Amino acid sequence: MPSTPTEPDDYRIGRVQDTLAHELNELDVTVTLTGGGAFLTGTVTTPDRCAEITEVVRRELPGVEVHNDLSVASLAEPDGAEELK
Amino acid sequence: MIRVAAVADVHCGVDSAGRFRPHYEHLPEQADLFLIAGDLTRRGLADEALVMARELEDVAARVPTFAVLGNHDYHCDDQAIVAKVFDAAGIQVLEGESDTVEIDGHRVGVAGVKGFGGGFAGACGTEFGEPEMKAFVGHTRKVAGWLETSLLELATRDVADVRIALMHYSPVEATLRGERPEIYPFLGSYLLAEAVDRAGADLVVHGHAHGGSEKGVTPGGVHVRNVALPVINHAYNVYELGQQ
Repeated sequence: MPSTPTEPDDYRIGRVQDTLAHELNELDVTVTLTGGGAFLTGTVTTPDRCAEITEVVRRELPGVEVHNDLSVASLAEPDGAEELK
Repeated sequence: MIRVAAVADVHCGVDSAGRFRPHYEHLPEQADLFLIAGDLTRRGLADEALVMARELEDVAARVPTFAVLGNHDYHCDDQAIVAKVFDAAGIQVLEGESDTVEIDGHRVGVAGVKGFGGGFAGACGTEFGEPEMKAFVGHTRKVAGWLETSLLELATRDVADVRIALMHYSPVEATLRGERPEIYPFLGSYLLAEAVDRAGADLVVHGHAHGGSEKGVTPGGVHVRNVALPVINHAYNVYELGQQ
């Protein structure tokens, strides 16, 4: 059920994060509600996940501008090795 | 010298075919051992495990590959099937167990356990009160005991001269730096570090804390590395143990 604008922000954020966990199994997105909209931060594994997360947050926070500041983890090979002494 | 490649939290979905395999192509030239510290799948579905097993099968055929499961791998209650899928693909899943491999004249032992939460000194749960609270902390204490026993077996039977503890949850706070302190009790437990320090080890590898930091140390002086994919921001990291 989408949150309503009359709810305190804490409850709306809690509901969005609960929905992200259940629908997308995504536990590592931070949702910050500000006067300028909802800002999403964190690192996810694929660009597709970024889009899916944004879509769910927009649905759960109707009328709120959603800013996707998520990062996608790199799968580059390591630059070198760390020697443990 | 033993070269250990490690990663965690790849969160493979059924739509992830082909995403990881190319990035492991050169791993066998860079490492002697590959450790995956949990959350191989997104929801713990057998179909997700099958996809990830295909992504790993080439590298696992060339380099000994060990894994522990993480909380995501338990989500659908199919963790036993998920573990079997990986085992069948040559990725040995450890849960309260250990195994050894011979590398460069060294016998390397890996003891693996998922671990669990509970928190750290001064801010941790105890087995007190409601059954749910006792079960929560009791589970951590139980699996930490398995870890200690596995590491001790590697030492007392003299079967390994290098010992690595592989887990999903963190044994120390240092590798959680960056996460909100309020959630530390859900990210790890000092009981895991205590088990490592009692039994002894040369390296601890874990994941789970996506917003944490890579490097830490147990109170007893054992290297700890958080290899969660969002933390290392590479397909894997490589750690060198021992003198060349």
